[in-house]
Amino acid sequence: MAKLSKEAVAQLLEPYLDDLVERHDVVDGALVVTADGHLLAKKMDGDTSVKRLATMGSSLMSLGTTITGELKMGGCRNIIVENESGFAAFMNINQKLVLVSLTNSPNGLGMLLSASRACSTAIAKRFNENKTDKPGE
Amino acid sequence: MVKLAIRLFDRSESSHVEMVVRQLHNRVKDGFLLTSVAEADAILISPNDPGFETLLNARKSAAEKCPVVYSDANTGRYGFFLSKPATTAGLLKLLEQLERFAADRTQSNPVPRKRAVTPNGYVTAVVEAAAGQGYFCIGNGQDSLYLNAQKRKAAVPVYLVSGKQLASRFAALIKSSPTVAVKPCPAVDYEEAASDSDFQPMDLDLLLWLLGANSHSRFDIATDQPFRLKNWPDFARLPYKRVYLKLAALLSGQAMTYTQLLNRPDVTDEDLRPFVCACAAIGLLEESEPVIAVSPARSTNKKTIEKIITRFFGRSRG
Amino acid sequence: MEESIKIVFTGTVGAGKTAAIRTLSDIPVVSTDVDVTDEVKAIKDTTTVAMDYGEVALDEQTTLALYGTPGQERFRYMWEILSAGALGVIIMIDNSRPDPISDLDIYLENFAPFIAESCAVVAVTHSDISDSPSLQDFHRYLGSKQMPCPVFQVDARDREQVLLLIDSMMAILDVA
Repeated sequence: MAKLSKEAVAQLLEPYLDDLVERHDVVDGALVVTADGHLLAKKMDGDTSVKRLATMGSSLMSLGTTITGELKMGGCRNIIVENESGFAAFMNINQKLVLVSLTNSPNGLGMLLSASRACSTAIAKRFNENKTDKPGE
Repeated sequence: MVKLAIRLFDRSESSHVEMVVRQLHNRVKDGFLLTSVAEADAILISPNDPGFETLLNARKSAAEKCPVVYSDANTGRYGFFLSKPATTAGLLKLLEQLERFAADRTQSNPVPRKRAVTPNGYVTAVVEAAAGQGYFCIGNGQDSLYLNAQKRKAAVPVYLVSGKQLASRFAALIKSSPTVAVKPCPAVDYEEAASDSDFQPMDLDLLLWLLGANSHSRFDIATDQPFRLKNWPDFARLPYKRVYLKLAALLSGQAMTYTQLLNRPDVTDEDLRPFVCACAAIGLLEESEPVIAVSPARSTNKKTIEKIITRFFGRSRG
Repeated sequence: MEESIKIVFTGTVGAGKTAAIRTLSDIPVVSTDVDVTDEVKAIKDTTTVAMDYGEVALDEQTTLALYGTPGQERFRYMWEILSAGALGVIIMIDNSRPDPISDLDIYLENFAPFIAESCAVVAVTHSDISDSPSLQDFHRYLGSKQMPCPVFQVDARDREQVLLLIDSMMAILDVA
């Protein structure tokens, strides 16, 4: 089975993140991280500690899956973190990838989730189309 | 040379002081020697350290290790003080003060050290053999066991041991002091015993531990000499009672006398004597000036500890 | 009033934190394992990214919570979160890794403020694969750091040996 390097996966992911951030004014930044907390690709300005955000994203999604499993609700689709400055959304793309997206708009949650879900689905589809492309190994 | 221990939890502060000590070392012939708290003459400590008050009080009562306060400002209540950030000039001044203090203390209060726990009779020979490099045979004419001191191994007749415990016959052997002899032997004697199915291979430290714990009448104890443990015994391999864990916890952080230990309500002579003799036999005891332990800032509710012990070990566990 | 107290198991990837918690827990251990995508794959297929959680009922009112941390240093924010308010920390070191003493140093440094207020016990695992560094090497290193913690070679799957770690921690807390 062909396994893509992390660099190749990052290259493959960048257009999706560019599209997510550039096409949607409400989305201020986005990352794709592996389920075990490694940063793969980012589209984010400023000083945000993206490496820490990557590992936190993996912890959160795993905790979310554990919680929904405990509640017998099945898998966890996304986790939303909110404060007065905006929202961060953590979303499982597939078993190995997590999408993290941010908005600084206090009213932007709906748009953030909608755009991020579309992006996540597109990435999942891309990896699903060619199963020999196995990310992150 | 003043032995200094740096007990600063802030890594950058600690590294800075270490660097300045090294700089001073290049300028002054007998400056500071960085060492552990147990070995130190003086301890550099931050006022934010959870053990700060304990150390200061320890100095007032025992005048042993000198706490040196590492802080921005000296409020005047500290005996020894080093201003933050440390400089070679500041350390030099501190060095002079500590040397003067040490000289005064030596004149007024010399502290002779004696052995806290000393083996006697044949046990002395066994402990000395174990500390050596060669092969030894221990026997009373009827039973014999063999040591490979270098590899820290022993070969013991299977009927003398049972798992990590001694068979009663072994206990009888080590108690029959007048007839037990410890002699160097050829390597081949040990090798033969080690490959003989009638013998059980055993770690030498386990053998010494059992020897110490079971023949404690063969040890002389100086009840007024403070001692501590160099480190925790390896209880994963050595048989123990729960009180041994407490004694190890007490003695790994501080030096205490046998009498002080006996004065604790949870310690009896019946438990203490085998423990200290076993520790002495495997070379874990270290005579020391009485150092007061620095306890954690947050003490744990005794009821909580009791609940955990009861749940996992039952109330009867000794 | 119901009371929950906790003990934290930390240490290197593959040292046996989850196994140790499993030997004690009354409930199936709640894990947050995910597929591994890095060099850890050489040791195991999944790794903990948030925490492991086990539970022991002490009495009707009191629960002992056993938390396992992720091993990798990039998850150290979880170390702080999980250790807050714990009785103590058990640091598990895989002796078959290239530099176990440096591994220990990472945990001692990161947990130093916590250990100063509570206590630590060191458990060395996989000594059957590599017996170096020796226990004496670990003790020497801890002595140089002014941390006279107990160090034991254990098999994390052996309940008796894991209980020794708990027992030693209780002894330290008891005399403090």
